[in-house]
Amino acid sequence: MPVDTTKATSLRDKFEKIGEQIREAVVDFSTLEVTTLTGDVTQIIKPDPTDTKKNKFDFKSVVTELKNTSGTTKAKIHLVAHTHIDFDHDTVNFVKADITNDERNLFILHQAAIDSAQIARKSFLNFLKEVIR
Amino acid sequence: MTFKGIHDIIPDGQIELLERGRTEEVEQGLFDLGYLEKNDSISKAIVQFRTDYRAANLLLDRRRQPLYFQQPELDPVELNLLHKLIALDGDFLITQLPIFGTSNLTTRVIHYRLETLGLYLHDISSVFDEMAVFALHQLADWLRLSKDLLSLVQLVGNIPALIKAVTDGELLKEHIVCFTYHSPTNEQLLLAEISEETEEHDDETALEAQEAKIDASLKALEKKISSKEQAVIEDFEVRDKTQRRRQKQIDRLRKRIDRTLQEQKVVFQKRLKKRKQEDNSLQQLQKLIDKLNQDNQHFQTTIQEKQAQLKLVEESLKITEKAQQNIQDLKKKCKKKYKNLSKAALQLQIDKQNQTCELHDRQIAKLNELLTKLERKKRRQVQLQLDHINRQQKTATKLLAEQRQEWVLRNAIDENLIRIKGIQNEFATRTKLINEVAHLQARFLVKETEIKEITHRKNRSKRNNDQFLAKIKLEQQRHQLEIQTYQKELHQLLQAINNLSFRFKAKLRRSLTPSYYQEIKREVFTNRNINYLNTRVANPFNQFLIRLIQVHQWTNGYYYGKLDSELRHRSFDSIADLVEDIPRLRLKYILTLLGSQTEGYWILNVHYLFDRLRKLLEEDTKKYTAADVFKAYEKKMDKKRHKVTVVEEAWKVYTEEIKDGLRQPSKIRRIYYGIRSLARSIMRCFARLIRFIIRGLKKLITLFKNFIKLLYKEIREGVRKFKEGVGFLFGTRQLETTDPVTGKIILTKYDFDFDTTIISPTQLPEAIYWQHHRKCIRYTRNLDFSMVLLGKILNWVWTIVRGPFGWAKLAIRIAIYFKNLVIQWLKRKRRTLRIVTTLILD
Repeated sequence: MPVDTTKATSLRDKFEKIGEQIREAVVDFSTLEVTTLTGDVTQIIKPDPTDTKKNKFDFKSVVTELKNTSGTTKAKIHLVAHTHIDFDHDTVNFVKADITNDERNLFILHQAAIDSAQIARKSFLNFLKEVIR
Repeated sequence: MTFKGIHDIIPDGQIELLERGRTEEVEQGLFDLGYLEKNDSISKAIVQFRTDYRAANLLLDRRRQPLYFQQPELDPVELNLLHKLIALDGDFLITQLPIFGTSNLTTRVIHYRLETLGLYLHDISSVFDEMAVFALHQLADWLRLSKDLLSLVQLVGNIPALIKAVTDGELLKEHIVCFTYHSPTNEQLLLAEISEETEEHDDETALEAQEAKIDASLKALEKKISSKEQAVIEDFEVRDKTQRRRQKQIDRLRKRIDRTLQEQKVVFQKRLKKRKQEDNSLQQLQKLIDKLNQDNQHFQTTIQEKQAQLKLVEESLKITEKAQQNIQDLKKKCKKKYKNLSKAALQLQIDKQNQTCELHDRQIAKLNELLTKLERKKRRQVQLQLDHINRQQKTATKLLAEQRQEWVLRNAIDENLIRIKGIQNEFATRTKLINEVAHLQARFLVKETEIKEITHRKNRSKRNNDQFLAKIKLEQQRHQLEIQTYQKELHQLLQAINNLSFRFKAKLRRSLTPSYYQEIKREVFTNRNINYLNTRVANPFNQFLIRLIQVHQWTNGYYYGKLDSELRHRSFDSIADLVEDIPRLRLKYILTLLGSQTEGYWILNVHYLFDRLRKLLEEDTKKYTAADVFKAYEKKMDKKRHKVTVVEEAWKVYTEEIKDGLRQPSKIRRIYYGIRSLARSIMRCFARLIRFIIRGLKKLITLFKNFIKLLYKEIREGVRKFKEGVGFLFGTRQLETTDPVTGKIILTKYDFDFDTTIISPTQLPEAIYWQHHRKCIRYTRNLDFSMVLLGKILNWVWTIVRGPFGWAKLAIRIAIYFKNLVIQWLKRKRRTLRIVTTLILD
């Protein structure tokens, strides 16, 4: 479940929120999941009410679309690759069969994302280490 | 990503204050390395700088990808690199010479170093060619060094090493620094100190002993003055503390009095308001009662009128009844008459029988007609009477309704009377309340008297306090007088030093070779050969030495003017400041004035000056870092927390001074951003700097400004990284790249624990994938130490709850930790990278 820290106003409130999530083990540091999706996603791009020139990408709509479609191609969104890495580095990779050239680029991006997510998580763990110390 | 909650930690206005001067700091580096010309755009210069350092394999990640790009501003780490490149403390080692005809970061750094020393007069961004080689060879010739270009390149990037090399060479034994002047100072004492001496021989041992004695006296006196000052300061602080405590007590008392007065006022106002309301309601009630009484009277009159009308109605009813009776009687009479008439007709018929039947008929008809008329008349009369009766009935009904209304009104009057009684009771209660208010007022008066007494006591206490302050002032004056006496003594001692004979010439004689000294003696001291002096002034090596002195002053934080090989007012002051901070060095030992007090030549014993500087470096080999300076400052200022405003003010003055200075040649200010030499200078006279801060220094000396610059710069860059970390934690953690042609968006969403989802539209141009890829890498890599810094800061912030920990202290800790973190981070990077250019870390 994603941690929503955007609603609290003061820094202290926000950190308390994070603390709660960590205590309640909502934040799962034991596994790392990287998911890459593709498809016709224009339907979930909504105009940004705060800026008339920009479009806003509503991530929640993507997730909802995916849930509604139960993995079918009704919303024209499909999975290109998914990687699950366990704490002991056991890794499960899913890659779509017959990937196109376009999807091949996306798969490379997916691999880079795994790498950077691991580094970023390390940064976050260092942050926790400093806070707890 | 900005987050308002950041103000929970950093007070309002501080971020804005810290941000001051950053643009100038970036611009100076870019100017120095030739990336920015007078009217260039800074963004273009940043792009070029990034391209060049990337080509030099600097600031890359493990995949050898650049860490920073596409950001409009330089990242704190990039700024750190830029300042290291332009530092002249041997921070940036060039391990390979650039190829001829190329222009890159290394060539720019080499050109910049040579240009700073006045050896290279061409464009810094131009290609590496024989001009730079010529400058390096000339230096090698002067210093009699080997012509190994690489070691010469290192040497020009390390001013302490260069000074050592210049001092070690024999060349200085046959050279004095000579320059013209135009009123560089107006200080008579200083001018007296550096005026030309007549003798050239001295008993060095005796003079040294004498000097040592004066030095010891000076030291003791300075110690006495500073300890006296320190005592005064500490005394002040203690008294200030006591005074503050007293003031706090007075404030507390005043607050209590104010609060009591306020409370009394509120109570009184409430009661007054209530009383006014009661008065109003009583007036309203009185009005109501009056109205009701009027109504009552009116009703009484109406009732009487109605009763009279009722009587009339009753009489009318009787008349009606009588009229009805008359009608009945009339009806009976009519019937009787009719009967009698019928009988007469029959009798006439019988009597006359055959007499005129027609007459009878006519008569009968006539009678009938008459009867009909009579009947009609009677009916009409009856109808009229009935109408009259009906009208009277209606009037009676109306009267009855009115009567009923009157009864209702009477009931209402009764009810009102009951209400009036109730109001009267209430009025009685309120009167009681008013009495209570009067009682409270009496109590209030008592309280007022008490307050007056407290105020009186307060005034008495204030008088006492004033007396105490006056006493302190007297003591202060006494201390001042004492200090003045000491200062007089100090002045006398300084004069005694000035009166020590033959120091400049004697020292010069010892510094130079005998033949060269004789030449100087003959041409300069005896003959005042202007041509000879002018030749010396114009000598390139003389120019180089002046520039080297200027650069030394600049890198050590004593000077931040133009680097122009001309020792004018600012440079002269910086030398005077430097001499003050170096033990066993006096201005008169190194400088002498030839000519009048407004125009003439100076001779500087560069050999002796550099020798002292070299010895100083040999005595103090510790490699100070900015973090060392901040730690020392934190330790000292921990006890003097209330003096932070002086530092803030100094920062404002400094940023104002450097503003626009770079782009206006007449106002040019070159700021040195290296650390090592500056930190060493600061540490050497740290106690003096702290005294400046404690005293609330009005005139800012250059070294103090440099110290403030160093401090604020690191706090600011640390805070920037902190904000970056906060931005990640509390931001959307969502990155988007839009294809400008199709408007399609590729998106990466990071969860709090870094689970990642990438969503991409189909048929996206390949370039957009890579653009997005780089954006994601930059985003995650940047977190590397901003998160650690954030964690650390939060850890400190949470300790605020447990103890006194203001922003001032937190800011210094941020600076220290940030600096150390950058060093560790770059060290880590250095291990992972095989770079041609090595970065030496402080």
